[in-house]
Amino acid sequence: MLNDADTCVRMAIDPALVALGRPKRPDTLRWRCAAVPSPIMPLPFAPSSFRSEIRDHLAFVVRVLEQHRGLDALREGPAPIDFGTAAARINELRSRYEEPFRLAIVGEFKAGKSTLVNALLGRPGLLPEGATPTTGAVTEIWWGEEERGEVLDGTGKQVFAGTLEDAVRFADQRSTEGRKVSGQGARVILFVASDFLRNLVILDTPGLGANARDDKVTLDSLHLADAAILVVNGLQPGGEDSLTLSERLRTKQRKLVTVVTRIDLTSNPSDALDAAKTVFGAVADGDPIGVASPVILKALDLLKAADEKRDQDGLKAANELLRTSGYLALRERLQEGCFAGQAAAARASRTIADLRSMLRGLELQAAQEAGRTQKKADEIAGELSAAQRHINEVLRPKIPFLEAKIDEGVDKHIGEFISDLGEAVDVFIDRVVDGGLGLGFRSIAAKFSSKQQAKLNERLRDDFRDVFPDDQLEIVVSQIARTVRSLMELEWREIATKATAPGDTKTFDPTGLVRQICDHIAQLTAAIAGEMAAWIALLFVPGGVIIDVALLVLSLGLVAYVSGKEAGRVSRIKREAKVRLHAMRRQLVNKLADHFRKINRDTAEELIGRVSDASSEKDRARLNLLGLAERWRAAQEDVQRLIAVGEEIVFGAAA
Amino acid sequence: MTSPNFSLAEALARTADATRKLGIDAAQDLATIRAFADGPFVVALAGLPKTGRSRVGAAIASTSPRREVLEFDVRTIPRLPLWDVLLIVTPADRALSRAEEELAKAARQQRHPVAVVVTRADLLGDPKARVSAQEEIERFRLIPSLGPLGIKWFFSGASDSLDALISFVSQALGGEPSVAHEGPALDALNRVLDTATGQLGERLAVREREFNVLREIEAQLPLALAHSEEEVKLARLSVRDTLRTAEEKLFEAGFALASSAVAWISRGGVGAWSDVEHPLRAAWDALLATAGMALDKERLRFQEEVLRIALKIDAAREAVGLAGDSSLALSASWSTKDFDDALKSVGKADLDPLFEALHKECQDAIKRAKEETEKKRVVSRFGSRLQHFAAGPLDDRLRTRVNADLEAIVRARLARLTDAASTAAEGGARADAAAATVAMKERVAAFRTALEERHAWGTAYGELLGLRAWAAGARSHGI
Repeated sequence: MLNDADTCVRMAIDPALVALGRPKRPDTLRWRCAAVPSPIMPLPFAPSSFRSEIRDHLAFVVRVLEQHRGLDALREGPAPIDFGTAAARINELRSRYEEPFRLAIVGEFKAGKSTLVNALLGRPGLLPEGATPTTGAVTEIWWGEEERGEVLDGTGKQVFAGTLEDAVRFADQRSTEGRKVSGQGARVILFVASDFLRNLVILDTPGLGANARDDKVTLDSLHLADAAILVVNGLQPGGEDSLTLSERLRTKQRKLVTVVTRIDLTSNPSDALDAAKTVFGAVADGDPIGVASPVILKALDLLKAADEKRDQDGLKAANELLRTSGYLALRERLQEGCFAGQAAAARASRTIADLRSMLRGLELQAAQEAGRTQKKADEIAGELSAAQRHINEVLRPKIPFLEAKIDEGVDKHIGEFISDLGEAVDVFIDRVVDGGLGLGFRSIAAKFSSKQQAKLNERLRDDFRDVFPDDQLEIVVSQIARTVRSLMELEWREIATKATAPGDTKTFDPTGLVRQICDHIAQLTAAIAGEMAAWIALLFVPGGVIIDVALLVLSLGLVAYVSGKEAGRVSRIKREAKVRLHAMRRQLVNKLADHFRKINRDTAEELIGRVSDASSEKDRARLNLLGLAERWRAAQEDVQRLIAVGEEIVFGAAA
Repeated sequence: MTSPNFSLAEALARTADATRKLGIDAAQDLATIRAFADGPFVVALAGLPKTGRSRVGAAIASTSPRREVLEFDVRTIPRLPLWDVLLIVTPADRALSRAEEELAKAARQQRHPVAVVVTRADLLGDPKARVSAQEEIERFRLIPSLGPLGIKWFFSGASDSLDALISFVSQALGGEPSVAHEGPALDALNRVLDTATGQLGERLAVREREFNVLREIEAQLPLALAHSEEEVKLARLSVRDTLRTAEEKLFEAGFALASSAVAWISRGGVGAWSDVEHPLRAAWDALLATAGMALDKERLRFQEEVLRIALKIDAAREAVGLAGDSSLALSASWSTKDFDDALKSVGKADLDPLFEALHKECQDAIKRAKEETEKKRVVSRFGSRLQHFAAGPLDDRLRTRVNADLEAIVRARLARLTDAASTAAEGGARADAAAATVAMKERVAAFRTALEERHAWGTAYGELLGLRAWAAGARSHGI
């Protein structure tokens, strides 16, 4: 807990931090006492009275977000923030809320960031400097009475603990150690005994623009910072990378102070400051501050010497040098902007703002996902209803339409067949008449045994084959098959071309369907020919048309034939046979058309089945999407409630 | 397809022509490439302002009047890489930014001569510090990044000489400008071609979809023609069947007439004779009506079916936004002289003698029955005798008689009518099917022509693809 004091700050470190190996802060900090206030004194930092409430709220938020974590894996594509990341960040926010103020030093590579940090701490060479980009990992610099360092890898696991100098090597990407951790998300933590670090943690970052890996490390580290110093090279002030970074800080509501380094090397410092103001004025707090890091170091040395000698003139001279080097202006800006007055309340507010920003992001995403998911479900419903409409309005009506056409085709062919059959019966009757004369049939027919009768029938059947050979059946069957096939091939091919699975623009393969129809019809022809042969055979059973007329004609008697008196009667019998055959036509048509109707129905059902199968799959997907949309809406409502509770806390803090 | 032997100028001209046909604005780019191809050596200097870039440029330009220097910021690289040598200028205090490194890599990948010039060495401090700093820059920045790519670098401070750099440039520009320009010009042309073909993606998708519709209709056409042929056969069968069915009904009515006559006799002639005649007369009227309409009815049915098939082509045309023509020039009548004569002949057939003879026979039968009854004076059994008489041989005889009379009156006429009708139907249907076939083939061909005209840009697109392949090949093996 933090407690205000007039000139002192006492800080109790969170046990979690102690566990991490960080030093416990002294209960009371010593202040230098001098006639001229020391510029190296710590920056005062005030607490918030709503600390526990905020902390509890953060913990509660994490618990709620964890409940919705399952949704993260169900979202399509990457999201700016998901529930898991948000929960982790809020946990981090909660931990950080207890920690000292974090000041990030950011900027393009070789802008002088590490040099500036060394100067602010009065420790030349503490952080590596060089002619090439040096800082390869985020370097946290904490206050520590006993100077030492440690390195945590990207997962937070400690990979090094030892002296300050050895730890620093991990921050230098030119070194062997540095190359090992560079770009891996590692953090180098240095504990340095500099009063500037009382209440403050400095984050030195790799520069932007040198390579993609360093850019990522720097941008990822921004969420750790409470405020930032944007370091701009006075010799080369512009830079899109810096602008992107500062814009990002602004949107995260971080204080941003622009510092122009190497101001002592510029031919016209005010031009360099103006240039920086032009580029970063809109995103930074206040005007850019020109800084000459080597001069700061020199001034701090002078200050130290004068302090030890109690040399008031020396102190004044050193202070003047600190002023001209930009140190005092920077310190004042930090004090005013980041630490003074309601700094702690501001931090609480920032924490809540960070939280709100994250939650609003989550709420927006949850709303978007709910909307997107619902829209998809609706789209699928539309596709399903279009597919169903296609089935009901195109595919199904086609079945009776084609059945009628099949019936028509079969009927015409069978009509012709029956007509041919009738003519064959005429010829057959004439032959029977001739044969009957020879047999003297009338006198003996009535006395036939059933065996003899069967034999007679068989003979008549054979005789009939002479006038109406069996291949006649095959011919008519093949004609019917051709007619039906030509119709079905054309119609079903066209329909298959237009039938698609819901939401799919690709049609089903019409060639395969047509081939299938042809195959089925080909397989059917032999069966139909057999069926027709059986139908013909029925004409020769007792009571069958042909047997009847044969017996009738034979029964007319020998004298009648000889005299020719019965010619009219024979003619009548032939006509009656035709009438009887005609009456049997419908039955045969139905029997044969049934086979083709079945192929037609099977084809239709197969096509409907394909559309329906795809529809069922789509419908399952739709139901899943509806469930998912509901979950997103529930998550959105939870997040909305969390935001509302957060607002109440802010309102309470403000009151 | 483009020839592998033409010149860059010809390729540019062809590209200009093809892009113009496609409505793609590439004229400016092509003119720029042409100007570059015909111009002097170009040395490009890329770097941020205030890095000593202009000083390097002036030094390069001063060495030869045949060298043009093109300066640009690394953040605004010209779209077309039209230069013979690229020099990336980077200040020593922040040597080789990411953007500069990526530009160098890209130039190397395109096989452009490229070098990095590190300027402002004065910022590195005194001469001793400079040496140390240069070593560090080389070790940690230049060697790791540029070494593997074989890209050279030069340090150029306030007092350094640019001799080595100028020598590098001279070496890179050896020969004639036109030779040096070839690679960059081809690269630039490739970019123009990539951009142009990329812009056609949507048009290609539409073309594919529309040609798929056409291909499907082309696949359906033989099926439609086969179906039409089957319909011709059905037309013939249908007319024959209609007339035969009517004939069967007429003879059935004849048998019914015989049965009615027997019943009339058994009632002793009580009841109107016209009622007895009615079924056959009605059947005869129906037959005449059917015969008169059979051909026209079948013609309409056939033509409706043919039109339905032809409409599929029109529907496909309309599906891709082309106007369809749903009309077909089909026969207004299938009738022939034979058919008309046969029909007249049937119409002239007179059934009255049949009815009169039958009536007389029936009256005679009643009379005979009466006389026999009177002879035997069995008055009370007259009715039952009549019934016995009529139900037996009389019924059989009357059926035979009516059938024989009908056969005599109508059979030959109807057979002639059926033959004439089926011949007329087959002829008419075949003529209509032929007309429809011609029309459908013409429409499908017109469909193809219309699509080909609509997508005439496809030829120009093919030309662009050919040019792109040519440019890639020429870049690898030389023009």
